[in-house]
Amino acid sequence: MLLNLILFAVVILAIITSARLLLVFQFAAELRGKKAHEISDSENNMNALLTLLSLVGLFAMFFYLTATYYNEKYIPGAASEHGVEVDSLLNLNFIVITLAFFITQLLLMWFAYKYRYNKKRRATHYAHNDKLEMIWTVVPAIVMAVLVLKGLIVWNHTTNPSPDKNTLNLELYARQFDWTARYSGKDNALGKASYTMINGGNILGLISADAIQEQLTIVRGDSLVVDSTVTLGFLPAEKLEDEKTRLRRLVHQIRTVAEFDYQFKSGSESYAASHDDVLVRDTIILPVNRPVKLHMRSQDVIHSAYLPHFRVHMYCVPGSETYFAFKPITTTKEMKKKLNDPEFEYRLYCNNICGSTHFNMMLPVRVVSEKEYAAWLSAKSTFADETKTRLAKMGLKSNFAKNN
Amino acid sequence: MSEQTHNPAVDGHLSQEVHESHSVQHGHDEHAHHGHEDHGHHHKESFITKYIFSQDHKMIAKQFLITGMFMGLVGMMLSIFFRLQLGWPGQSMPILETFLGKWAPDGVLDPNFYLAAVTIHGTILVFMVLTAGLSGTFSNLLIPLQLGARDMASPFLNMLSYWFFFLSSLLMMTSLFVETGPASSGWTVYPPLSALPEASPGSGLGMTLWLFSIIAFIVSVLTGGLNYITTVMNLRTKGMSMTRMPLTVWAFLITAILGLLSFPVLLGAGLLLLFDRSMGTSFYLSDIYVSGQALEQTGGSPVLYQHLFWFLGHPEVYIILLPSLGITSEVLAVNARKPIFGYRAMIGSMLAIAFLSFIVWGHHMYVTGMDPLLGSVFTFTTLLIAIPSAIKAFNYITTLWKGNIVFTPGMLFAIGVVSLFITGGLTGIILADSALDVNLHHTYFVVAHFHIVMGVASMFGTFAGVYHWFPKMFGRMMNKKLGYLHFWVTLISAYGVFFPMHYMGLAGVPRRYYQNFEFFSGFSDLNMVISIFAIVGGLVQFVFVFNFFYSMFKGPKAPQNPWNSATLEWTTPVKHLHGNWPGEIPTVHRWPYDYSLPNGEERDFIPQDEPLSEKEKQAEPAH
Ligand code: HEM
Ligand SMILES: [Cu+2]
Ligand SMILES: [Cu+2]
Repeated sequence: MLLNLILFAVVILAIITSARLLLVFQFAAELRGKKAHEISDSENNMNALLTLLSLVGLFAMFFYLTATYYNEKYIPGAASEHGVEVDSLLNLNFIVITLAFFITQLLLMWFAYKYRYNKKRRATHYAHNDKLEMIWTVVPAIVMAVLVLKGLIVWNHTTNPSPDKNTLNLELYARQFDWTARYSGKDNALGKASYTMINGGNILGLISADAIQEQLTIVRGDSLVVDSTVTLGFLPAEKLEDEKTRLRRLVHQIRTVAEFDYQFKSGSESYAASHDDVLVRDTIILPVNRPVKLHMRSQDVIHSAYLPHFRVHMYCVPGSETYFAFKPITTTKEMKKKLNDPEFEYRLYCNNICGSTHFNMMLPVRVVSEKEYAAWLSAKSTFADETKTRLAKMGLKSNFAKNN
Repeated sequence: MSEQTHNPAVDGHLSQEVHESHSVQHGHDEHAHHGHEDHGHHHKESFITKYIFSQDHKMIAKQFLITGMFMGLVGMMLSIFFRLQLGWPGQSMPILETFLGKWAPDGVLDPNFYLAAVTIHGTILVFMVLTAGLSGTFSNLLIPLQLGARDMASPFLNMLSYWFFFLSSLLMMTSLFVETGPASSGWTVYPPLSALPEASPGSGLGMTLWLFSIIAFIVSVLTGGLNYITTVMNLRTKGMSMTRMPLTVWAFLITAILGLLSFPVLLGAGLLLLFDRSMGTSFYLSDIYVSGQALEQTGGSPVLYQHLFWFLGHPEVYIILLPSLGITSEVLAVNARKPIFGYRAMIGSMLAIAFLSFIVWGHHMYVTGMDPLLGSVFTFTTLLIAIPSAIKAFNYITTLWKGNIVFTPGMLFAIGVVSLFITGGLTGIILADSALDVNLHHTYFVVAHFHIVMGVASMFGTFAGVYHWFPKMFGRMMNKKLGYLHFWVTLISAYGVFFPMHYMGLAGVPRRYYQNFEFFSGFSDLNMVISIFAIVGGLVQFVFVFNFFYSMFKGPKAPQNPWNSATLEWTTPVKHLHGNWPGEIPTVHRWPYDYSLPNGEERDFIPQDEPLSEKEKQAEPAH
């Protein structure tokens, strides 16, 4: 506190002293007949020289940073098929803009230096030149046309990869503040899901006959509890509002889940695709050289699945599903060797602001051989198994006595 | 220059004008102007009507400037605070606790407040500083003065425009002090994060204040913009045809039109967000499960909000940039002692940029899941903007060629604008390309790009304007030595802060991250260097603030036309008076850039209000 006060006093004193000093300088200048609005030769020369120096500085910074950071160590090359194309497009773009950067900054600062004020010279009144202006309209237009064309080709390859029956369907599910990956299992189809099916055990809200049974039990129980607290009316007004809202939401939820139940019982939906789905929450494992189609969903706010090494990025939007397909081409092991970094991991980051620990919402991604992948996956328990275990704990019987 | 004394002839003339001005067409009557209620006794104005509820455009300009500067300092301090965290993650900094109290327990920034600081920093700088502070100041000051009008078309609306801006700033400042913290979902406040208090504490009261602040801000922009447009259209003095307007005024006009067409869309987006927050509607909300409950809302689309937001958001970056480019055109020409090169091309390219800015918003949304075909269209339209931008850059450079350059502080900042505009514009070519943006979206590459091209470039334009027109605003000169110091340190630190960020972005470092840069090998050092540049750059702004206030009171008296400029504002008396010119408004006879004419004339400029000489009349048709 005292320290702050002293600091404050020092600052005030410094301001007053500077003002006094400035006033003195100003008087002195006036006495010497200097006019405040006229820029002296020495001032013009000094600033012109500094302009030239800043040109050198700017280019030096560019070279230093590029030499230091624009390399494999800091900016590793793409580890996906379309990523390689993206990288070469990026390089082409960089060549163009670097060239433009050098030419224009050089002209700008060189002219500023060269044509610095000189009493004896008069500026050249040069108001326009249609030919020149035509040149710097047409040349950028042609360059842009080339870049747009190249860009659209790569964009097209990125967003419409050639169809491949072998494509792995994988869901990335986001919520505050973690990721869950869902593998589609033997059928390579992701089972249906709904946000009304979410509970502590079924965080993705997957739908299956067992999950419906589980959810109905939980939600009906909850609604009874909330209903009785509301009717008893012991709550303060503010809390009461909250509980009423909660009840309304539960009723809405029960209706939706009951609808799933009806669909299943009437036989129009089997909800079987989710049975063999596998949920993973620690490390995403991908087989090398096999196309992956990512299906993105979110539970609460917008997140974004960002896999920089694969040049993959897509928002996860609550209420709808988004996609991104790519093909990893370098295994983690190869990458470790290439970067000479035994600690290296690919990573999935959240790259859309989503709340307090947004920065910590990430998952390692490992690219392995097809064999390793198959072995890893087969050791995982399926959604159906997990649900059955939970049901048993609740004292309920699974719809599927036989393992399926 | 007897502005102090009552001049019955002028005043009599004025009052007559007031009643007639409705039917007066611009150009026919050189005195065409609005009436002001107290025209007969403006020398008796009270403190309140002169300094607070002023309806004089020059005073309103100063109000905008000083409020903008204050907000700028707040925004800058916030950025220094979060730069401390980014440079030295997790390290205890007592200064943070001094300033932020519970938001930095033990001197370590709270992660929620980190996001809040980033959000409010962005909001303040984009809206309060570089929209209101920049357009509000210079449109108000220069439109009437450079066009030969006695004031704005509606001084009352003009006053409202300032006061709504003030209210908006006040609400934004208030939000810094609420219990749950200010809005913290980024300056773009994407729902559902911004809609659900359960998802983030900042989305509670802080967000409500943010929304009301922005609504007040929109009212300010619209009342201001209507006025600027009307004034330019109707109150130009005799001879001031559209093609004789200085490029500053062209820029302000186009900016105002952009604002008028785009800000209402933000108002719509904001209102729908308010409804979603408080009335249970689902414009942006769908299928959400948060804090243990499944919300009833279904069918809304969070991406809809982004379309609406960026429909404003992209024009907004030009609302920020164009006034700076206008100021740059003017300051470059005056101090190079040359006409701006390609006057008509400059206007044409500004119009093209303005038009295109309405059909490129999707480049902020390539990875929202939008149709790839739509992505292609936005890539195409966005890259089209590169063409008028290139024209502008080359025309600026050619303006310097064979000039006789006087390095005033204003001139240095104007040259800085061109350099930054080029550097930042070029990286835009990369971000515009959907295929490349996929991997760069929301990384530090974007932070580097938009700070250089929009943030710092416009800041430099603002500084150029302040140094150049300070004598017009306050009748005194700023200290040029301090101006040089300010310029060089700011230039070096601006490049020092933002240039290295490109490389982090290319490596995939996401923005809005509180820490975790160790996952990107070796950028911790760079982050520290960036923070040091940021601190130095921040500190030197206080030199500017000091120079500003010192010179306002104690600076040397300014002469009539300190920079030997040809435009009309320098024909008004140094000492301000309500109505601007004590006698008749000057008539304009030529364009604003008659510098260094090769006609044997000794002066190197001819003011706009000087009739053509006989020789000139023969030599060329009027511009
Ligand atoms: C004092 C100099 C400045 C520094 C050191 C600075 C630094 C930063 C940094 C590091 C970020 C990104 C933080 C993050 O993503 O985690 C940021 C965000 C931002 N800055 Fe600045 N900035 C400065 C000046 C400006 C100016 C002049 C503008 C005017 C346009 C501006 C507008 C923004 C905006 C719009 C954001 C984005 C906020 C968001 O992510 O929601 N900044 N600033
Ligand atoms: Cu997230
Ligand atoms: Cu944009």
